[in-house]
Amino acid sequence: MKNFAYYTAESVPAAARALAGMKNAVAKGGGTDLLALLKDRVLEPDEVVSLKGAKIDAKVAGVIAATTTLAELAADPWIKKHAPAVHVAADEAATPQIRNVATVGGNLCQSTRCWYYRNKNFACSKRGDDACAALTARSQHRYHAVFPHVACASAHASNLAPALIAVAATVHCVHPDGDRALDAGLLYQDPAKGRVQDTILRPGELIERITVPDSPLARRSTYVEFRERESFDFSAVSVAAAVHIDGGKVIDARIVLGAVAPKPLRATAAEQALVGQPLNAATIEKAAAAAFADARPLSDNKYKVVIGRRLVMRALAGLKEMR
Amino acid sequence: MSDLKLGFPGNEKNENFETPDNVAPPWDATTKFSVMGKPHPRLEAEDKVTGRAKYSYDIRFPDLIYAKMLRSPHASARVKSIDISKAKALPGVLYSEARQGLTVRYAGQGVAGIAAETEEILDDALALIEVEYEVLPCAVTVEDAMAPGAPQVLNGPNVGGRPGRGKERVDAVHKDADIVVEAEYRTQVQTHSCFETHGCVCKFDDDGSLTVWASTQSTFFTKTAIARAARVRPENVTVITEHMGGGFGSKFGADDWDRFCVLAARATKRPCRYLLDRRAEHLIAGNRPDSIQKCRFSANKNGTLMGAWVESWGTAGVGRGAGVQNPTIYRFRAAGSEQKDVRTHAGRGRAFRAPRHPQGVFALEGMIDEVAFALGMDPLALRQKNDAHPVRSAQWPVGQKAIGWRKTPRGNGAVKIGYGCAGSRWGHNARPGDAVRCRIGKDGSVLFANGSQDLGTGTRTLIAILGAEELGVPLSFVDVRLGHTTDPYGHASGGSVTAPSIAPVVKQAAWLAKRELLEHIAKKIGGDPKKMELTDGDVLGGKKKITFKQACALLPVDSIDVTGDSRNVFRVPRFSREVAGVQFARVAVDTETGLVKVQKIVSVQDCGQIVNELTVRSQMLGGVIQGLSYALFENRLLDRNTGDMVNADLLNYKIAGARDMPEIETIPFNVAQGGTTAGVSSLGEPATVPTAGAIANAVSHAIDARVRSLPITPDKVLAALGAL
Ligand SMILES: Cc1cc2nc3c(=O)[nH]c(=O)nc-3n(C[C@H](O)[C@H](O)[C@H](O)COP(=O)(O)OP(=O)(O)OC[C@H]3O[C@@H](n4cnc5c(N)ncnc54)[C@H](O)[C@@H]3O)c2cc1C
Ligand code: SF4
Repeated sequence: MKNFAYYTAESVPAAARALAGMKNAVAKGGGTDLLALLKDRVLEPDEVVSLKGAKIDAKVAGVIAATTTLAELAADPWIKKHAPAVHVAADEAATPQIRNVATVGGNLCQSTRCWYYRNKNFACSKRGDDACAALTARSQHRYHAVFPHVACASAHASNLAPALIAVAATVHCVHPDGDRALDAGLLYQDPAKGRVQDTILRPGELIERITVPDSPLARRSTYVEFRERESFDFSAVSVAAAVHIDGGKVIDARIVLGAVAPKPLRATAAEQALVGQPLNAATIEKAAAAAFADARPLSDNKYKVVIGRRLVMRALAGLKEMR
Repeated sequence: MSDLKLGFPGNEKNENFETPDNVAPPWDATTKFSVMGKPHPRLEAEDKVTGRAKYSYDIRFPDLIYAKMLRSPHASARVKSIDISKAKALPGVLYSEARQGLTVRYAGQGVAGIAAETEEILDDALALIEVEYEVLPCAVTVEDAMAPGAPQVLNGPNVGGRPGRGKERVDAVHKDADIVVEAEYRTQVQTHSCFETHGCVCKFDDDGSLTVWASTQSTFFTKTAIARAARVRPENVTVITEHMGGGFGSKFGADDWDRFCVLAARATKRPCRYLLDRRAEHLIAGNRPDSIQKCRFSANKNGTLMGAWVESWGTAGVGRGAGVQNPTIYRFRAAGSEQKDVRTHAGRGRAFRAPRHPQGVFALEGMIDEVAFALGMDPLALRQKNDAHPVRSAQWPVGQKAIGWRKTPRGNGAVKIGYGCAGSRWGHNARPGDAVRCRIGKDGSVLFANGSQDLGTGTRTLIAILGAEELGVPLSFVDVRLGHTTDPYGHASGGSVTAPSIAPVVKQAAWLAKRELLEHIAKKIGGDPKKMELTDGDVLGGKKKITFKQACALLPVDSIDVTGDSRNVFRVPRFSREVAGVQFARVAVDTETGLVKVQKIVSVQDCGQIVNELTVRSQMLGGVIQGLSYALFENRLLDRNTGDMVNADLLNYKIAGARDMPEIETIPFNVAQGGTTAGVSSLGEPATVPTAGAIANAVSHAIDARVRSLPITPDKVLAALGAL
């Protein structure tokens, strides 16, 4: 890893101010993702600003500080009751050791696990190269996107992102030029050549906190994921789903797919298949089919589509049973 | 003439045997043991869990320097130029090497090397080396290397191997058989993934002598190889391996990186350390070759196996050594194989825990199941009918009962539960050549010493138990020193030779020391030394009873110091020709997602004469765990464009973890084997052989469709179910 100067910020806004004065800096939450990227020299910053010392204000129901660890989030009783999808996503992520240090902000802003991105021996358009090593017939892409973008077939790795999007959480960002709050679904953007970051955050802009609404949609939410290995593994596909049912009909629905595209994917066609309908076996099956109707899997990852459809069905079947 | 009783309850036989005068009398089925066979924690257990145990990885000196090599990102290339000047100019860089003009034949091959004051400087220096490559076409799969016009990996053709013999005879038997079954099986490349990576720490003393702390399965091979690399006389080299973090067949001597390390230490006159990083460990430090096995088996309606012919292809990268143990185990009228060994642009294969066996047995046992289904026979019954081994024949029903064998799968809904089994065979690999020193001090201390290493299997404790048993003292009286080449010779730990080979020699050393002690004591307390014995720490049969410690205090010399060797201790009749084992698996398969969860494994293993029940069980557990990991997860993935490995870490190279573990029931079979005076057998390797085969058969049983390729990942299960 390249040498860098290391700073500890007292608060997230203070970190954002510090970053504004630096040219080639990154923020560090728990460092569980960042450290690996530094070691492999995928990122070579001159400054690293740690958020780990940032004080968290007194707890308010539904407000998650960006520096909250995944373990703390998983233990939050309000979240467990009012946003079960978020609870399960935090609880299932990574390993106990990692959950104890990894932060919510870091989880949302973590890099893709694309092994070509993380190995500088290979070409990667995200890193600025002309080609993408993953997008050839002879590449290894069993965990890559089944909804690839023309420039990049990476799979978004975060558990938490689909869950927060499904419960319609709001992300509060800080930047010296002005703070903003946005729907979690709007945090991510399509990949572009030379842009390693998947979020729309401006240079130096940081997530300060996330608010989860107390809503019927969030309360009736769930998260299911599929991974090949129980221990120590990322999900190959994940689904976060939430429905608001009134008078026997779905009046609002959010279905979000993880690890199938370069960003968490709202399955809007699947959501539309449910709205105005009762939640039953037939509508569930329709929604599952709609969720993956546009999938274009690569030669090694067709299985993700088959499993993804199943997960949508299992998630919705779970919501049907939920009160 | 005395009788030797061999075997196990229910199958015992007597052999005539006369113990020569100078040899410890052999143990057999009638021996009453006081230390042997019970569960003993490892002597170094506390040191290991508290971190006191020092591995080569942990050896540090104040003036230690660090070495590392720059590795080729291309699998096939010519090095046009290397500019190392910027790296050399970096303060703290002490030594370097540039391999100008090198032809690269696999990704990860060392191109240049640096030694520096700190690991951080080293890392920066490596990043400053500029290499210009002429990239050449590569072939990293068997298919690519066999395609017309494929690039030639080394001199000579890519495809090697021995022609098969006896195909005509097998074909003729097939013709006579009632049914013939044909199928193709495939296995993947598995890397050893030793917890402690390969490498060493080298230190020259002022007098020119060299000490090497090596993570090795053979201290003595390493000594010779390092001496040659450093141009030092072997007698001036000491290799030390107190503890090591796994080898599995990949650590038999000095490697390229060890040579670089010792040259750096010599040139700089500083102790130097080079232990591979995880990526290099995957790329260049060994692997189990893959295989494609085309099988044609036949049988008669009454369940008699007839013919078996296997044609196989596999790659050990730039090395040779791909091949499979298939067909084997069962009695066929006629059987044979033709095995092709295909070179590819990839890191060299190395011996890996039971080389050739797990992959061969996976295909063999799959075929046996396929034959059984074609015959409408219970697969277990078919095996029992065609298995002549006296021990395995007794093991099948034991495993059957422990797993709760069922002919029909269970489960309703998406999750189906299936059962499978598989067998193994291995050699009784006791090899002459070891020597063990036994020293009994006037102060009552007892030390056994041997210069070979404890691979992690518990050899240190094994030696202590054997020594205590033969001496007739409690285990707590005994110390063991292992892993210093200044002590007597010991074999490389490979082929599961260690325990069976060293056991009779430890026994012999202990017996010689005991006889000498009793002769001294007889003179002091009166009595016939031939009639005196040491039992449970007491000297019995003399004019008066005294304790071992009292006896030692009476010694007229400071210590008794004897060396036992392997002469005469190997000429003992043997019970059965091969080591036998069977395993059974119960798995749950989610037919909607293809996910396999192994619920239970039963391992029934011939352990010969059990020395330590605890380490016997832990070898069996480790064998199952590694076999399960091979069956479901592990897979070296190479990018076919450049030949570099995409999952050279421990996240994407998936190894079974705690939550993937099934219930594992170990049923050690204690068999008085004979063969040596100790009767101890090989265990470490056979314990891993049947696991993948048993799991694969259980999966196929559960879903009523066959997965013929390892690892059994969800996509393959879904494909077998026709869902992809
Ligand atoms: C073995 C293993 C298994 C894993 N399995 C899973 C899994 O199943 N599911 C899953 O979701 N994740 C998984 N992870 C990833 C893990 O959850 C992330 O590494 C972790 O959440 C990142 O959090 P961190 O605080 O350590 O981030 P860091 O590593 O500190 O930072 C990651 C990135 O986020 C940026 N960042 C950090 N905080 C902020 C902020 N407040 N505002 C803006 N940017 C910020 C950093 O600049 C950096 O770019 C796994 C990781 C490992 C190593
Ligand atoms: S898939 Fe995306 S991240 Fe991976 S190599 Fe291609 S461009 Fe880079």
